[in-house]
Amino acid sequence: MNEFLDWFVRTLASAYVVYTLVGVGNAIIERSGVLNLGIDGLFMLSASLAYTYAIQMSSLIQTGFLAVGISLLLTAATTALLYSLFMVLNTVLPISQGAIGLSFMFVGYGLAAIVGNIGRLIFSLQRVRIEYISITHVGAVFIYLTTILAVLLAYLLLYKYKLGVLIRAVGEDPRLVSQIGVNVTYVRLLSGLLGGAFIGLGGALFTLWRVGGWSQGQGLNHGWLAYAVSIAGWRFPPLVALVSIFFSAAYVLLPHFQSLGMPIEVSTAAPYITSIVLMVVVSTLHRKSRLLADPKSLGRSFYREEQV
Amino acid sequence: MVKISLVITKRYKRTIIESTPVILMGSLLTGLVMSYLIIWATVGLDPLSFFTTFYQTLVSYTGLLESLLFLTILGTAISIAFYGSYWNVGAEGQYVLGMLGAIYVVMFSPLSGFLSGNDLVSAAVLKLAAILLGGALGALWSLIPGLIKVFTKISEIPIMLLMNYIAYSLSDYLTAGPWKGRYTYGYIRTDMISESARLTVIPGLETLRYEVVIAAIVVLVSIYLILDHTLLGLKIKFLGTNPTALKSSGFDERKVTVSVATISGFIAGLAGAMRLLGYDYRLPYNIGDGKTGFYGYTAILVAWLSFRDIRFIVPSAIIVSALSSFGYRIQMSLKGLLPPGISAYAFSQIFIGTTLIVYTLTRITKEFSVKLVIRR
Repeated sequence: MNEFLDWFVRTLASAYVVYTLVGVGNAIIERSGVLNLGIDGLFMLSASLAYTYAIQMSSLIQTGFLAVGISLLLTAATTALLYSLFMVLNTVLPISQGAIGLSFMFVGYGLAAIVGNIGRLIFSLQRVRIEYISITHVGAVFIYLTTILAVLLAYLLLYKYKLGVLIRAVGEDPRLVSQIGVNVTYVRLLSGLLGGAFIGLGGALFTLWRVGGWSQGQGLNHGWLAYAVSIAGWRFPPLVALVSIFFSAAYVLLPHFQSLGMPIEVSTAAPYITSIVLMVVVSTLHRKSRLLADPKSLGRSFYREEQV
Repeated sequence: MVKISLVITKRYKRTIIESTPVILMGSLLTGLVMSYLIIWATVGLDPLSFFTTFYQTLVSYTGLLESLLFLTILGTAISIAFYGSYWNVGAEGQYVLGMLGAIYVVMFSPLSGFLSGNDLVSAAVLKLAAILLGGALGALWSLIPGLIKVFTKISEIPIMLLMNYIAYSLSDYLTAGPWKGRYTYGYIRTDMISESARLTVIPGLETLRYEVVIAAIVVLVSIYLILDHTLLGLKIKFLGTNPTALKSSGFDERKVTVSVATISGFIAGLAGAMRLLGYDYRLPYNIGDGKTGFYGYTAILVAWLSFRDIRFIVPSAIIVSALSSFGYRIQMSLKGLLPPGISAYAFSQIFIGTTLIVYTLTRITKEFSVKLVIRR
C-alpha cells in the first residue's frame, strides 16, 4: 500500500498538478482573446529557470526546503513578466498573434537550453544539493491542496469578480469594451500576469517535483500537452481540472501497457494521439453553451488606430 | 503630467526604407546582433571569433547547395500555407510521411517487383510513383489538421506540432517492425533501396541530384503561377488578408483552407520522398533524433523571412542554410570555450526566435507608421 502511494504521488499526482496548473493558466490567458502559441517555449523556459533558481538559492540559503519554495515563486514571477510582455505586444501592435506566439516559442526553446546550462555551470562550481520536493515532505500534500485552491480561485476570479468579467469581455469583443472606456491593454496585461504565474508555477513543479533534475530539452512538448488539456476542458478552470485527471491518468498509465506487448513506438505516440483526439471530441460537443464557448475574438489582432 | 503613447496609423506612401529587402536584411542583422548579445551576456563570447566564423560560413558556399534546395522546396510549401493563414508548422511530419511513402513504393509495394528490371523507363516510372505517393501521404498528413481547423476551429499549430511526433513514432514503428532490414549489421534500420531506384547524381556536383534541382524549380514556378495567375491563388491571398471579404463574395472559406493544406502538405511530402530516394536510401531508427536534419522546422524560418512574397524564397533559403551551418561551425570552432550543452541547437533556436520577433515587429512599419508621442 505504501509503495503504491509512493508511486501514485511521484508520478500521477505530480503529472496532474503540472497539467492542471498550466492548463488553467492557459485558460486565463486565452479567455482574454489572445492565442497562446508561445506556451510550449515559455513552459520549457520556466522548467529550466526553476532549476537554475533552485541551485542559486540553495547555495545562498542553507534551508533547502525554503530555497526550493523561493525558486518556485521566482519562476512564477519571471514567467508572469514574460507573459505580460507577450500580451502587450499582441494587443498594442497590428500583428498576427500566431507570428508572435511562434517567435516566443522559439526564443523560449533557445533560452531554456542556455538558462539550464547556466544552472549546471553553477552546480559544477559550487556542488550544492537541491532539496527536490518528494513524498516525504509535507510539501506534496500542500502542493496538491494549493492546486485545487488555485483552480477554485481562478474560477472565482474569471466568473465572479469584475476583473474576470472584464477579461472575458475583452476576449469577446475588445473594440466594444474599449469604447466604454476600459483599457484593453491593461486588462490583458493583468490576465497575462495571472495566467503566466500559473504556467510558471506548473513549469517549476515539473522540474522540482515531477522530474527532480534537469536535462537538455526537458519539458519539450509538455506545454502542448497542457494546452490540449486546457482546450479539452473548454478553457473553464473546474473542467480543466477534471479533464486533467483523465489525461494525466492516460499519460502515466499508457507506457505500462508495454509489458502487455504494446510496441514502444505506440506508447510513445499515445499521449500525443490522446490529446489530439481529446481536443477534437470535446470541441465538437460544446457548440450550444455560451459559458463554455470559445472567446469570439481569439486570435484576432486588436489595435486602435489613432488620429493624430 | 507627461503622457507617453504609441500612435499607430495606416501608411499610404512608401519609402525605400520600408521595402522588403531592406526589412529582411535589417531584421537578420538585428537578430544576429541580438542573439549574439544574449549569448555574450550569458556565457561571454568574444565578438571577433563570432563574426569571423559568420563571415567564413558565408564565403564557403558550395557545401550549402544541398540544404539550399531542400529549404527552397519546403520553404515554398510552408509559404503558400502562410499566404492562406494556414500556419503549417507540421512540414517536418509531412516530410517524414513522404519518406515513408517513397520507401514503401520502391521496396515493399507490388510495383517494386514488377519494375525491378534495369531499363530506364521502368526505373523512371518507379521513381515517379514513389515521389507521388510520398507527396500524397504528406498531403494526407496535412489534411488532418486542416479538416480539424475547418470543422472545430481548433488552431492547427498545436495539432501539427503534436502530429510531427506521431510521424516520428510511425516511422520508428515501421523501421523496427514490419520494415526491419535483413542486411543491417545489427543496426535497427531498413535495407538500402536498390541502385536503380536512386536519384541521379550530377557529375561534378556530388551533393546535387538532377531530379531535386528540377523539382525545386518546378515547385517554385508553379506555386508562383498558382498564386498570381489563378482564381485559387486569388482566393488563397484573400483568405490570408481579408477572410471576411472572401466570405462575402460568395466563396467557401473552408474549401480554400483545405486546398491550401493539401497543396502545402503535398510539396512537403515530395521533399521527403526525394530526400529518401536521393540521399538517405534507407530509414534509420529513432528518426526524430535529428536524423531528418530538422529541415521541416528550419524551413519555417525561410517561409517567414520571405513572408507573402514568393520571389524572396530563394534569397531567404540561402541566408537560412548559411546560418544553420554557421550554428554548427561556431560550435566546432569554439569547443572548450563554451560550457557543454550550449549547443548549435540552443544557438539556432535563439537566433530563429529573435529574428522572427524583430522581423514581425519591423514588418509592421511596412503598412503602418509607428510613432512615440509625448504629450504634456
